[in-house]
Amino acid sequence: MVPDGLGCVSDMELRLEGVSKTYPNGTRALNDVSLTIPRGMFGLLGPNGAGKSTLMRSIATLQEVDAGAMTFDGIDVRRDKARLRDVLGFLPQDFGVYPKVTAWDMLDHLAQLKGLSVRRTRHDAVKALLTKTNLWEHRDRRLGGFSGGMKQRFGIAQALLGDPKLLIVDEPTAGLDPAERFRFHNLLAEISTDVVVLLSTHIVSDVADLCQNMAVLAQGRVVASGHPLRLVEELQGRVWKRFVGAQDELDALGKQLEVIAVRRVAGQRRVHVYAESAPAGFEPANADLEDVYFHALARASRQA
Amino acid sequence: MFSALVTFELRRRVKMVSTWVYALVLAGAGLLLMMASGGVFKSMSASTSSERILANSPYSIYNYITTLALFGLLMVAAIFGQAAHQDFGHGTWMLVFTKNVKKAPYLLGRFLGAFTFSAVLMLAIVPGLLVGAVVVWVVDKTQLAPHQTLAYLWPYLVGVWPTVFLAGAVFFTLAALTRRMAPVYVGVVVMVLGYLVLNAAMDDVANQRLGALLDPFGFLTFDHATRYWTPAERNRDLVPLSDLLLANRLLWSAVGAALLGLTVARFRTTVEEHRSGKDRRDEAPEAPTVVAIPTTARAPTFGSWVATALGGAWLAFRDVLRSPVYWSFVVAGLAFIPIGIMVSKALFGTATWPVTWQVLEVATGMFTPFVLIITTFYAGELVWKERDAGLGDIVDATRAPTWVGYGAKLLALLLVVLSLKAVVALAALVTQVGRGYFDIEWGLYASKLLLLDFTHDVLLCVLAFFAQVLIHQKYLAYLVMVLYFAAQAALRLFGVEELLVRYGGEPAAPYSDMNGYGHFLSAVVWHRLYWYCAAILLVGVGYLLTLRGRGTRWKERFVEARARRSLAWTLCMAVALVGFVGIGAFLTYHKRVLNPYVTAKDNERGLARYEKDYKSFAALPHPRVTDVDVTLHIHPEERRLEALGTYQLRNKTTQPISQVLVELPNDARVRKLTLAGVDTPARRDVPLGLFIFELPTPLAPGADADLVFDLEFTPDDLKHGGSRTDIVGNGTFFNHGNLPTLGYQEDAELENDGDRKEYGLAPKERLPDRDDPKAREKNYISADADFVSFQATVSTAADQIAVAPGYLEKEWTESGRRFFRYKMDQPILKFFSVLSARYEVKRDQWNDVRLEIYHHPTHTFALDRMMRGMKDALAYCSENFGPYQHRQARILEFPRYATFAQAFPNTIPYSEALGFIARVRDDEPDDVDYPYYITAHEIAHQWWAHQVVGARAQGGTMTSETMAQYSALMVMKHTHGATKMKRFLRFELDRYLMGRVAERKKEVPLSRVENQPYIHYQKGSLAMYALQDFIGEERVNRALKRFLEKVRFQGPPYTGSAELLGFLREETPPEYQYLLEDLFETITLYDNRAVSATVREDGKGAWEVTLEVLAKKYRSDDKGNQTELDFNDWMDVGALDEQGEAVFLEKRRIPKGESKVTFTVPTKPAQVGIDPLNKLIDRTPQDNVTTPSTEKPIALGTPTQP
Repeated sequence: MVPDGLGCVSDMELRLEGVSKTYPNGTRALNDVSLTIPRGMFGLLGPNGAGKSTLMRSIATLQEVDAGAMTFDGIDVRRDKARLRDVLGFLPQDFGVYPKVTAWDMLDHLAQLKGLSVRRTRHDAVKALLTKTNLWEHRDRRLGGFSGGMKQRFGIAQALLGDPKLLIVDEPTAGLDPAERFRFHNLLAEISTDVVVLLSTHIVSDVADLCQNMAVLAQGRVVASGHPLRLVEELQGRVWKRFVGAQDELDALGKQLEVIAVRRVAGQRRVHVYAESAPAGFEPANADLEDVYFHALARASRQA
Repeated sequence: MFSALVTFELRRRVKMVSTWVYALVLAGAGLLLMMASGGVFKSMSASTSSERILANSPYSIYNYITTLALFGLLMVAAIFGQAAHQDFGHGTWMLVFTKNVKKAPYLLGRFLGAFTFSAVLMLAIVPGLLVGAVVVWVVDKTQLAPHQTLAYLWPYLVGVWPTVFLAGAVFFTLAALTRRMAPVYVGVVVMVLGYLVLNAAMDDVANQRLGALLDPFGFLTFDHATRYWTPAERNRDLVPLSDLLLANRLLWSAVGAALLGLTVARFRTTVEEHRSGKDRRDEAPEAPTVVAIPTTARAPTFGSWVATALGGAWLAFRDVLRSPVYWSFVVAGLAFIPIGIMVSKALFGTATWPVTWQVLEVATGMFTPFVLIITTFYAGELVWKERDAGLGDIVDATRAPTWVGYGAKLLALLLVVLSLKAVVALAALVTQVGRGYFDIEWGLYASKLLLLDFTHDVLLCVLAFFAQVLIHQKYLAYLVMVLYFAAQAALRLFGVEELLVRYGGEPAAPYSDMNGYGHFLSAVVWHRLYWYCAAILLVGVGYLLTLRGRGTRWKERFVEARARRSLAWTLCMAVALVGFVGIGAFLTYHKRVLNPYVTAKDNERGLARYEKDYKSFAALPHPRVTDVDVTLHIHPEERRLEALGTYQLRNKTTQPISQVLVELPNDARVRKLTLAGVDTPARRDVPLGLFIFELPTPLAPGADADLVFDLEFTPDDLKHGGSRTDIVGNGTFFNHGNLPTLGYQEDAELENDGDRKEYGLAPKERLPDRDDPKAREKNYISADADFVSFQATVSTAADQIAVAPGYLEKEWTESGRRFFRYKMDQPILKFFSVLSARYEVKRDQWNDVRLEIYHHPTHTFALDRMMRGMKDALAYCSENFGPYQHRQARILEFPRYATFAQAFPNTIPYSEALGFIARVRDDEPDDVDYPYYITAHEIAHQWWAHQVVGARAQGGTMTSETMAQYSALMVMKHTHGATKMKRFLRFELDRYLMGRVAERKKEVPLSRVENQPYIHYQKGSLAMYALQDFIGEERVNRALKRFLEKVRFQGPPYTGSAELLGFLREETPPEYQYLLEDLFETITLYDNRAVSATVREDGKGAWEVTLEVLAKKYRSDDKGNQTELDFNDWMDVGALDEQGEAVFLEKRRIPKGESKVTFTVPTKPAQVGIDPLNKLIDRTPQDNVTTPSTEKPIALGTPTQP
């Protein structure tokens, strides 16, 4: 991991200030979101419907926000979409393909749209990415015949086309098997050394494994942000655990204490609660990122 | 579960917006149709419909409902398809088929749901029609027949619902068995194209019954059943569900049911194993050489983005080429166009040579609806391509400028449409080569398909594309396009003729072998430029508004648009706007300032005003032309014609004349017009082209005066309503009608009583009574002259020949132009024309008459037939009627802007589209030698019209057109034999019976014909052929010869049909006198039928025929109401062989009703019957014969059974 704040590289970072967005049907998708996303991997955690995709599409110039400023490396994202697109790589949450076009042709076509105008370099790039995403031997197959994992890898390949400086990947590992996910993580880690990667997910371990920085988004707000380890550290000593039996008992607990999460361990239910000091019957738990996440969510829902 | 499926489907559909949109469209169309045919829009546009078939007649309602339901069928095709496909399309099939579902109830329930829904949806037309009828009732009650509720439901029972059942079954089967939607659309295309081909095949009378049986939509069947219905019947009767209609409906319903059965049998509820077309190549995995992602890339440039756009267009186009919908159009086009061209026969069921212009015209015409559909469809597909595929976000977030994707899509759409041109070209080529025609004009292929048609399709592409971009809802944009097409048609209803307000509007540009695209091209080019400017504006605005990302709200789109606008964009738009406005102004200047803007409705108003303001001149005495001396300078290269001349006039009345009305075409530039020394008219009516001269000293009875004129015609290519086609680059055909006419022209008055009422004019008869003595003062050909002397000087370009009636006296060249001097040696009717073109001349001789055919160099196909026609007709007419009055006969070809041949004195202009490219195959018994026949008809006119001319009264044209028709028939009978005549007469019968249905005012008997072609040509042929068959050709010819001798060159009082009939009556034996009454004096129709027949060998090698017949005879009034008659008439009974040729014919007396006839035939007959060769007028001619059953020969001493 690269420690942040080294100061030896230029401040190529994505800065969001007070970004808000309300849909015509009244849904507040983003509510005064301010974040600074430096070079490296940045994890955006949040439950479904938290506004992750809206935020990512807004940064990817696909959607207007109502208020706020977004800048990347001196580019005003809202004003100067064309310049941002020059350095952008984007993998949306769900996407389709032309079923009758081969992987090679499709990627080559997208490479052209990404401005890879010289045939030789474009072909080299396509070749490299197909290899990296393990699609090289499938390059002549029609995309319609791709499995979910292959399709997802293809999406990653296209996002990496054109040497992006800002890479936005929305739930990239959904539907990947563990091996593919592992490979994808490696790929991201490899390129994230000198670009800004914004990764949204609802899988906490993805963030834990990969990201130097993270934020938790709930109901359109940033409810926690920072370095994952530091966030865990902050919680250390305030998380307690115990096993519970019946549902009544759990309900009763919920009324008295801030229950972070209930997990099943070896067929039994173990509850984590947050408290300044140990409640009766609880023993200290070793806090992890999942506790951070659920704690943030719980707090957010209590505030709402 | 069965009913659950049905109701589920229905409930689902009722909740969909599209359902209500469809219903609204159908109802709206019904409303418009009813109002249009009820004349509600009449005050806005010129009327075109027949007044006698009422707006809400059962016949009209049937047509409205079935036609609109055909469009409805396009809507419900998807519904049937989805009913079968939805569980696969939505991926719910695994849920459905894991329940305990039986195939048959599942499928039939789904089908029935779709069918019930569609059947009910189609009913939406009815309220539209009813509301329309109410509106018509308010506006003009006389347009309505008494209301019949059943008339609104009958079309559904007989027509729509069975058709929906069949078509639905086809669509459902296709979707269920393939589990895909695309084949459904293919099915739609194939069905519609197939119907078009059947329709074209129906042109031939011999195919009508087959076509009626096989038409899956039942249109041809209905048409066949009601083809000869009179207006009275059409206004009153429901089409009976019997005979072919019943057979057709049963046949296709059975096919539908069988298809459903097949679906149930073959449908599988298990996983369809998808196997890709070819297995992936099993290549050794190449070791990828590059693993590192290259990071150095050259920045893209404008040029590289253009290349990207081109690449994108190609990729999208290639994708279209892989879609089955596209290929269904291509294959259907390739299969059906050649068939369509083959079966569409020009005249009398006889084909023409597949010359390039004609094949291309038919092929593009047939394909046009599909170009519209494909363009609309793929505009949506392409605009939505990325979004539909789920790639929208990825592509929109790339760095490619917006115009790259936008341009690529538009370009791909153009490529799709361009590829269709290749399909048309291929189909046309296959047709030409397949029919053994190798004189293929490649240049014309290129100019017609690419330069003329494709560049027009581009405009449509832009519009369809723009609609998709702007509306941004695919199906709504489709609907808008459909409404746009409907609106285009509706504009005409509202009398909007201005091409500049109809997107893509331009005048037509017919191609002629003689004149190429001629002057039409410049008008097309200017209109195209105008619309291209508009198209650029659309493309430009579309570029700003095209969606990128997810901001679909207008506010967001405008923000985005403002950001996208650049200096280059603004400049482009400014140039296009200036072009659009500038060219529009230029065209408007030509259409409205340099030339008057006259619509069809304006013409109608003008005629009404003519009658109101100038009718008083009809009663005033007018001088008549006695001598014509004209000089016509034709300048083909400038499209200019100067007409100078002197008409000598004489006051043939007994009163002095002090006021003269002179008429000229309103586009003639009058350089000089002097009447009896007066060179300024007292009044001039410019819009009507009228001049009123007041003579200071009245013209005394018997006195002469001169009318001197100097006119110039410079037709403007860009004039509204099309420039005149009689002054052109090659093939000028300019006639006397463009030169001064004297007096009030009663023929010009509005004829339709409904139109007259609109302008406050009283109803009028078309022509004066047959025996009106006042009417006999004028002949029907020229109202202001009797027989005149004629001479003409004509000049033209050095490479052209100019011809006028008369004999060439002198030919010379002067200042690079050719001059010809023609003079006629005897008086002729004031009926002349001049033609000028780059001709080749074929010459021949008949006795001392010189024969010439002036033709386009490549049109040599039928010259021999024409030449023979001239000779044979000259011989027949001279021998039977009297001498030919000229020493020369000439045929001159003119461009296809008109399709007729016309006999002027010793000169016959003949359209290039009529016979010059005829392909008559001598070895084909079905081919009619029509170039020969038409030539004979025109030659016969030299007797019948130019020697004998009728008065301008009822029956006038019977003495010329009917007699020319008869003469030509006899010429043909003697050359080709009587057997050929049967097929020819069947066409004449068909056209007569169709003609009387389309009659707009009233049908009259032949001897009172009011210049109605279907009577004086078609009924004339039938009547005269029957007469000569019954009483003998010599008797008829003797009567005609005596008549001709009596009235030859007779001026006022002019002769008429009464006098001619007098001679026929004298020559007709008493027992056949009733025929004259039936054929000439009344409208009489038979309904004869062979009920049954048996044949039995008589033991001596001959066959005894016993025939049961049913004979009926009707007399019709002028509206088609029939009354049955008692009779005992002569008719043929006879027997035909396998080829339909008569082996036995005999005239017998047949009484009314059922009777039995016996006769003996030498060989065993294939068919026997009454009037088997259809010599009598019979509305169901095909049931006159029947196939006899064979009885055992009479054996002596037959043992009797106990």
